[in-house]
Amino acid sequence: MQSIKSDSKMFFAVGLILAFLISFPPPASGQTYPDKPITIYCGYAAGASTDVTARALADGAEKLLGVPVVVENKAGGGATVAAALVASRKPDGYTLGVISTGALTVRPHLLKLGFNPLKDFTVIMNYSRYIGGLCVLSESPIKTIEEFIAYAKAHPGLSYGSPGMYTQQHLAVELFRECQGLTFKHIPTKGGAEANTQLLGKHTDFVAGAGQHITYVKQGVFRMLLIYNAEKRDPNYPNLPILKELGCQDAPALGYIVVGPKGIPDAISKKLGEVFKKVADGPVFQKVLANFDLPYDYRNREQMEKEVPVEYESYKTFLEKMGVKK
Amino acid sequence: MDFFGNLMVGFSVTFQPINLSFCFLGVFVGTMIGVLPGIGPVGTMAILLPVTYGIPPTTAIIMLAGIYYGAQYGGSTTSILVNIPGEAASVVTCLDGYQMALQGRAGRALGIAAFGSFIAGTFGVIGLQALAPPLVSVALRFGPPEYFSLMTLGFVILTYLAQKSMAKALMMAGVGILLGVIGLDTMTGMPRFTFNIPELLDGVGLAPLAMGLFGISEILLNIERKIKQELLTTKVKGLLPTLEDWGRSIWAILRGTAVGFFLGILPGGGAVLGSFVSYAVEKRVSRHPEKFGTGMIEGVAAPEAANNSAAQGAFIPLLTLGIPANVVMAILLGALMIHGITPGPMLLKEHPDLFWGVISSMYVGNAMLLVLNLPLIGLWVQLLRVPYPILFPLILFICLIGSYLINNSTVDVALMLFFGVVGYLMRKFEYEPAPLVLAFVLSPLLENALRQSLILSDGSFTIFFLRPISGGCLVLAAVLLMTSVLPFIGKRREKILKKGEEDE
Repeated sequence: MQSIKSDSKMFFAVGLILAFLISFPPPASGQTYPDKPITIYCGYAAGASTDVTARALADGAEKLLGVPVVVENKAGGGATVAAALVASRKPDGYTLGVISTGALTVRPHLLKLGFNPLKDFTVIMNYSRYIGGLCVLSESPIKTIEEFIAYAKAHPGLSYGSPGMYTQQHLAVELFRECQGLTFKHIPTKGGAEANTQLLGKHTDFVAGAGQHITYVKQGVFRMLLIYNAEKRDPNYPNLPILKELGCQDAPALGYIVVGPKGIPDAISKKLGEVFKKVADGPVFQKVLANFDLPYDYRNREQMEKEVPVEYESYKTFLEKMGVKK
Repeated sequence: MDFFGNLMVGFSVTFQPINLSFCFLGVFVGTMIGVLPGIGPVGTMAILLPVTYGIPPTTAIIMLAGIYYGAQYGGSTTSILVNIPGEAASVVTCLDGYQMALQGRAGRALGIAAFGSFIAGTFGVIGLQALAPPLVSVALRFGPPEYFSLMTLGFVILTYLAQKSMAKALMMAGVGILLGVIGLDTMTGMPRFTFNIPELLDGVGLAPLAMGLFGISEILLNIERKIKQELLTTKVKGLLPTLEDWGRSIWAILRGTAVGFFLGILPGGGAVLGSFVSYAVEKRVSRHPEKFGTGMIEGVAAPEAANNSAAQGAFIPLLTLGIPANVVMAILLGALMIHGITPGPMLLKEHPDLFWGVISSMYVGNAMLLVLNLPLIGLWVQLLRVPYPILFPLILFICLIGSYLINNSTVDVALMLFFGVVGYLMRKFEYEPAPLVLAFVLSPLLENALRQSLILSDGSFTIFFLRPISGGCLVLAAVLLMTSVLPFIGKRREKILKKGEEDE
């Protein structure tokens, strides 16, 4: 009798873990979308502007859709790591990605990738543009881009971190380097956050900022000297020159986009498009954009379906002209 | 902010009802799996990892941390009562703990283990709280070469402390590094070793790997072992240690705390090492070293204190550098990353509520554990009576469901079963799984640091030797490697490590 009683006690205890485990998983399938958690692969590391905006989108969408929307950072390769993962998943609307259009329109010209940039994706929306800035630590004596150029001429081989090889930030700084006749060492990282931390620890001499650098500029830790990936001066920083003013070529700006694998049913992509638009229009998301001094640049699926191939072709011509594309 | 200001921030987070309840859940589950042989904190945390998707990151880490230090408490119960260590870190506790139980002093052994754990846990948290912030500023000075060298040192320490052959442990670390390479190259985005299996683009999952190597293999091994499942006593009495016990134990506890904490900080160290070393220390300082192994209360108090303070110390490299010191920390790193938080020098600045919330939850968790383990000891004793023919299939069942739930993918289940069999064979042939898993987690970090360093230095390897912190780590690693080769010291190392193992 004693042993049976203790067995049942034990069962209760072990059952507790089981019950706990089983109470969490979502139902596997259903009629109405969404009925299980949605995963968003973010193309850059945690803390990067892409990551913070993706999380703000996910938070808002979670409230509207009623299911968890989980952001997972799949940083690396200038967002092509996340893009490749999205392309490999089922087009059921449960796996999405937040990446830079550069993963689809720039890097494919320069590297052999595991996906077809124009055929493997459904672009759900574009919500902003990457505006880059060249920054040094604010304790540095270098105050202007002219001083920086002079310093770089005297000290060849300054090192800088970028959010990845052949990202628009990397290209812009390389164009700047070439046009001014300088030499730099490029350290590709998994994303803006890592590149910024390396400058903070003084392991690099400057950073090719991609978005998150603005936080440090606002805190007074970084000094921004130059803005690139821009056609005209940034209204937030009217005193800062843009790359084109120095007589250099600039890598055209790219967009923050939400993508899914090709073949998401229309009803689902439409629902996602509406939900994300509503979140993006909301005050919370606008505040997040403002924190990074990012412009709100909304474009829907139809617009993006036209624009991505155009950007793809124009970057191809651009890279050929620059002699980067081999 | 000062020490107490930070503490207030932390407690305001800890005392939110959701955090409090998950803290309790964590230490409860931790104690339970600590008591149950066959499943340890690594397997449990791996299984529960998907559960953390739906809860806030601070809450998730509070719970997972609770499992870890909770298991250090629970592990002692089985060591003392059945002479089976519930946890690797409680192996030494068997030596004197079981003897005490044979002499009818099981209650006092359990009591001193719980109090010792509480004192050590609390001091460990204080140490963590005091040491972490200053270390953060040092951590910023770690660039790619320093990260590379520190991780290399970590590998060497880990393999040096391997209970079996060091060469085999190094081999396992190598396999781990190679496994970590699977997936997309983080610099160029090219797929590597994925064999056109889309699921592998993302690399091999940590959870299926850890569950297979630690969970499944352990069960397979236990099936063929004959385990004496007999309890000495059903009723445990006299949990409160006498004044005389306290007199003998208090210094042992304090020494154990210090030893454990500092060994816990070392990459590759951790609770197991802390408990072994503190036992050796007690034996050395004791006036009756010959009596150790016959039921000395110091022999229970010191290692139990050490494994708890080591559990706290191990948080330091994770929270400041983002480098996990052991496999458990590696899983915590994974949990943080899921929530978009990169542990490292910026963690304290960007997520102070998480940082201090987790730390202060440990004070609360330790207090909860004291309550759980003293008055409720009877419940845990009952747990030991679960027949293994029921327990093992149950654990297997949980592992299978758990691995499927991570991505709703059968590839993960297949991977877990594969690593389960591999893990079983590894243990059969005395290859330890811990170096493999830690190397697997560190592999992408290591590769990134190596490649970035070589760009910084224009391809010259001297960068690793010319920078002081980096060079220092490498020299230390080389010295360790060399000493293990020298026959005299090599034998000694074996002797020290064997001591614990013989009594396993």
